[in-house]
Amino acid sequence: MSPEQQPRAPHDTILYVEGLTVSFDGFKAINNLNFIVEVGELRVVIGPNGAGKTTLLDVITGKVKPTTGRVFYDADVDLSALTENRIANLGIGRKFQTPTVYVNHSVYENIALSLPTGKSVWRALVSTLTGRDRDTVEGLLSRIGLAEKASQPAGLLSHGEKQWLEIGMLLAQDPQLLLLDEPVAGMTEQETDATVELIHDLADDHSIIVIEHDMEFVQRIARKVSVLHEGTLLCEGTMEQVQSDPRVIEVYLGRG
Amino acid sequence: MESKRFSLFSKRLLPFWVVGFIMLILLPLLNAYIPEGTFGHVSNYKLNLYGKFLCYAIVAIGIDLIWGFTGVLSLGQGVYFALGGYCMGMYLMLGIGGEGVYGNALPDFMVFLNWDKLPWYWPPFRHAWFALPATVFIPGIAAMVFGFFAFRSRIRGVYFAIITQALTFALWLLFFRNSIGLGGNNGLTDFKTILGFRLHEPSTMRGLYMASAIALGLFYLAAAWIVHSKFGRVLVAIRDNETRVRFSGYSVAGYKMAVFTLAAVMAGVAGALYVPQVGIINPSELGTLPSIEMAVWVAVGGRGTLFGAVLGAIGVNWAKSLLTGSTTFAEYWLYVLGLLFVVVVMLLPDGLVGLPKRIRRALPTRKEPIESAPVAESVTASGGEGR
Amino acid sequence: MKTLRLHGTRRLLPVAAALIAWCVASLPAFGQEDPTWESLEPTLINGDNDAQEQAVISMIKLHDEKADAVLQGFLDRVIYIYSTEPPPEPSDELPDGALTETATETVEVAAHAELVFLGDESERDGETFTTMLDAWERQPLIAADGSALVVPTSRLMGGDLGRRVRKMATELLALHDPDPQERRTAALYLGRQGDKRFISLLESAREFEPNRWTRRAIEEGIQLTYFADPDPSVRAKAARELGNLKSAAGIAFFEEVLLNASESNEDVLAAMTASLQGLARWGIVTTIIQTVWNGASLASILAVIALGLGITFGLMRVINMAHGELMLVGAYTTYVLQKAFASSAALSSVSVLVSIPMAFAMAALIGILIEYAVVRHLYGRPLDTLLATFGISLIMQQGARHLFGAANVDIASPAWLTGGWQIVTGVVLPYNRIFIVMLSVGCIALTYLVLLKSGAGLKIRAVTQNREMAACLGIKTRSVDRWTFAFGSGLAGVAGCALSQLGNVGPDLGQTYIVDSFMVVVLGGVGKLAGTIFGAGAIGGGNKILEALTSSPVVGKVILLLLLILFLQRNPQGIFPAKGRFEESA
Repeated sequence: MSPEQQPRAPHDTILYVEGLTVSFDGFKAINNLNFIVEVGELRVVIGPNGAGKTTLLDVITGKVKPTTGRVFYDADVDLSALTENRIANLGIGRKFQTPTVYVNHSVYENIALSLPTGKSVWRALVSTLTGRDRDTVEGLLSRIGLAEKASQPAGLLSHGEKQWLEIGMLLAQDPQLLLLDEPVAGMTEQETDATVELIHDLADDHSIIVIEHDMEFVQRIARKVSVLHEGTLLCEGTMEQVQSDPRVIEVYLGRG
Repeated sequence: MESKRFSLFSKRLLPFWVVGFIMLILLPLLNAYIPEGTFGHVSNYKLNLYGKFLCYAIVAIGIDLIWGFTGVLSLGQGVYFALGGYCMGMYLMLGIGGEGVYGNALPDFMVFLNWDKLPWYWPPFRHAWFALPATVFIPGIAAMVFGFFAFRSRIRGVYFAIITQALTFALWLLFFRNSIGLGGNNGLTDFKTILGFRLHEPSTMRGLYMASAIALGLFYLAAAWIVHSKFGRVLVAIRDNETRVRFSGYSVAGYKMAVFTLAAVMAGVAGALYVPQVGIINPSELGTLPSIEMAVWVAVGGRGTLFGAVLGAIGVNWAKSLLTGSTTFAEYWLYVLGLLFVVVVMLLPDGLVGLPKRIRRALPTRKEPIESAPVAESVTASGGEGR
Repeated sequence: MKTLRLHGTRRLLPVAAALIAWCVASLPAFGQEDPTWESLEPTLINGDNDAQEQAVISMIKLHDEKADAVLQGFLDRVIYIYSTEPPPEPSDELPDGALTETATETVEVAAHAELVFLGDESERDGETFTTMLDAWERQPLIAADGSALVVPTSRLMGGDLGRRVRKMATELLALHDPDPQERRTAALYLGRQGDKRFISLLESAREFEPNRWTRRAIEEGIQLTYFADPDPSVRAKAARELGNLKSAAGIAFFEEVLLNASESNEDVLAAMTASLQGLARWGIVTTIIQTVWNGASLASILAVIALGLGITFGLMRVINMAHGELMLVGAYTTYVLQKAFASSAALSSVSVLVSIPMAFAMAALIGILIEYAVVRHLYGRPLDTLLATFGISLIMQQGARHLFGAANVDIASPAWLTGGWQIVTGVVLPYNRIFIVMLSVGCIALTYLVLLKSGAGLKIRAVTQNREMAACLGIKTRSVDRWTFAFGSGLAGVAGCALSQLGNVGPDLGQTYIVDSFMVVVLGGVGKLAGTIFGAGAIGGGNKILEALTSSPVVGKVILLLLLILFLQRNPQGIFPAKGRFEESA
């Protein structure tokens, strides 16, 4: 396409989704979705099962390619043309619904492998951790509360600890945009509290998109909420606005 | 914990130097200087046999890197082994010169087929400077091209295994054909000299044995270095959670391609060293069985440990030569091999290397809750390397 | 000795007399055209090759079963010459080979000689004696005293025809063989001789020919004969006719004629060229039809194999490398049943039909054993199932070698599966392949019914989609696994049974198709019946089409594999991918 045709998002948007449709064999998981996140924003995306929330993250991170429509990151980077690892290196970090960590590596190693440097094949052969890297890793370890378990294999962590470790790994990537898919699923009360705190903390210098089902948790973190339904944006606004929107009530109550 | 730096003289490598000394220096000395019939003599036959085992061990290290560490099971390593072997075979074939049965400068099988000149791809192999590097580059490039397509489209797991096996099968059929100019069914054989040395001299055989030992040692060290580098840790990470690696910003396909190519190069060099020692290369090396057997060496020794790969390759082949050496048991070898597949997969997922730990763990407390946890399973699978 | 003449005055004396009278009466008109047995017999006994040939043709023209029986007696070497005087000592100097060609010409047999079949043999004083039956009427020869004439066998000499005559007689008799294939071969052979004497024979054969393809072949034979005619206009017409008949034999004839430049007449040459062009076009058509059929046939085999593989892989994530050896179980089951049923013709003709369920049962049984002993411990570890089942396959292969030997065993197809159905000139669909296609369709239908229409299938699908939830709902997942695996294995057994009808069965049988079958599963996408069918069609068809295009099965296979890898570049999930979001499984 020619440059003049290419839409340019305003410079203070970190994510600009335009006319996005994703269909699997005719089933439209996302249907003509428009979605904008501004720099430094903490956005919560809610919606019933099958609303297309995870698919949206899949498209942003390059795991699924859009059928039509475009996704721009940082004003002018077209994400739909890039591979997952390129997108990750642009500064988009994603936490999965079920924690994904390297079970055979130590907790320390899990974080160290997520550092943003030395990712090419050749670099990895000779790359060693610098003093600053070590500081970063150790800082992150204490931030996620796993400093004592640094030498344990990650496979032996509890479910909640793995969730935290994954967040730590994400942070090690030094991303600008964090995508968190149900970050407190399976966490204890205490762990959830700590996560809320962490997210508030992170929101100061990151843009964050959170997908969540746990309404109590949403209430605690949400500033702006987007409701997805059957692949399209139902409404957007503060928690109160959204909760009082008749369409949202219809969707949630109508579906039980 | 951050893993230890790789060092040639670390304590962990002490067994390597001891075993290396025995294999590289002691055995050839025993072969050359202890007279036959005296205690301690290593016969030419034995040394030649051990030389073959060393070649197999090189292949096994490559398979271990790609399978044990990266989790990509290739059932086609025999292809690269054979490619290296054929490269060497072509060089050796042209080295026969006029000494062949027909006294013709052309290889005997071409004379037999009434060909009047070498196909275009043969003449460069006249020169050692071309043929020897070719044993590295041809398997390497072949693997790189195949790896590019396979890994880019994320063919993995059993799909990758099946496709590599299918490719092996197709090449096996192809190499049987006379028209491709590689000797068809009979392959390349009747070699006379290598680099000017007569192949039938015990000293040449000793030299080839030692070359194999050195190659094995170097590849072992290189592999050890790799698995202790960040590269190696990424490989293990790919094995454990490919998606996370990708979302951490690593090009999984690139890593896989690199390690797959390396494994193919190892197989190619092993094939090149193997061919002058056995004196023949033919399509049987390309069959699906030899390739899958190679994977089993590694499984038997212990996936994810370099030592296990070497142990498995030498151990299984030693057992095979014992059994097939005696005519009464020869036909039982396939039963043994088949059982080996089943037993190792079901009872010894860590292979022989993991056996002591398994016994130790089994002795004091009866059963640990490892049933439902793939995590615990794969934690033990990395064997003694990480910790 | 007088009694010898007795046979001349047979019981049908009045008829014979009338016949002779008629014969004599019509002699001036028909000359030698309508000879009788009486006139032919001496020629058959000691005529030269040409005379014998003419006699054989005349015999055939009698259109008499008795005449055919006499000729058959010659061909079977059970007809003998009985002469009133002892035959001369066999000359030892002559080599055996020379005897056959020249015997009837050189050996001077006494004037009173006749053709006989042997009767009852008896032994006396170390010599074998026999009674004789008159060759024509099959009545015993009677001695003067009214008892059966008994002679030592040394008195008799084997009736013989020259080699060429013999071959001709064979083919002429074959024109009336019950097997239409034999009749066709005979008609074409006779046509290629270019002997005008055969035309009337071929024409009368055509009259009574019930099979239209054989009728065509006879017509072809007639035209081939005309093509040897001295008259150019006849030849040109024949050349055109052969073109119309799409005669493959015609192509060979024309090409030979053109090669030797033995035809100088312009009209004939033009007719030949035109016909050759038409035939070449037709050749392309038949090649296409044949290729499509070959592809369909291979696809149907692959479909049955891949169905089983697809069930174990797609539904259970088990890569069963022993699938090929489960086919072996089916094939050897067929073999054993055939042996068991060999004693009775009725049983052996249905042994294949019995084999199908038996092969299914045996393979399913062994499948259950494998599942119980090995596979059930490995669910969720597909690569490990691959290695373990490969080990099992090695054991089973070697087991087959021990039980049945390393060599191939021969499995004969029943008579109703031999031969083929000709759809157009030049394309024959063998019955055994048609059988396999139908079997394949049956297997697909069965699988469809079991998986999608039965309660068991509902459970299988439930376990496939969500094992834990299925278990919570009270489905015995373990037993569902077992029976699913058994069903997949049973299909392998049926595939083995089918393959046994195509060729010999050996311990390596399973390996031949297994790689292709895995390709089908990979290409079709897992867990989809339609994917398996399309995958089988694509791989089977692709194999045969590329084989036809590159005229090499190996190159075709390699190209197909590369195409498959390229295809997977764009569609890593196969033709029929799983719908929607999917969890990445390691």
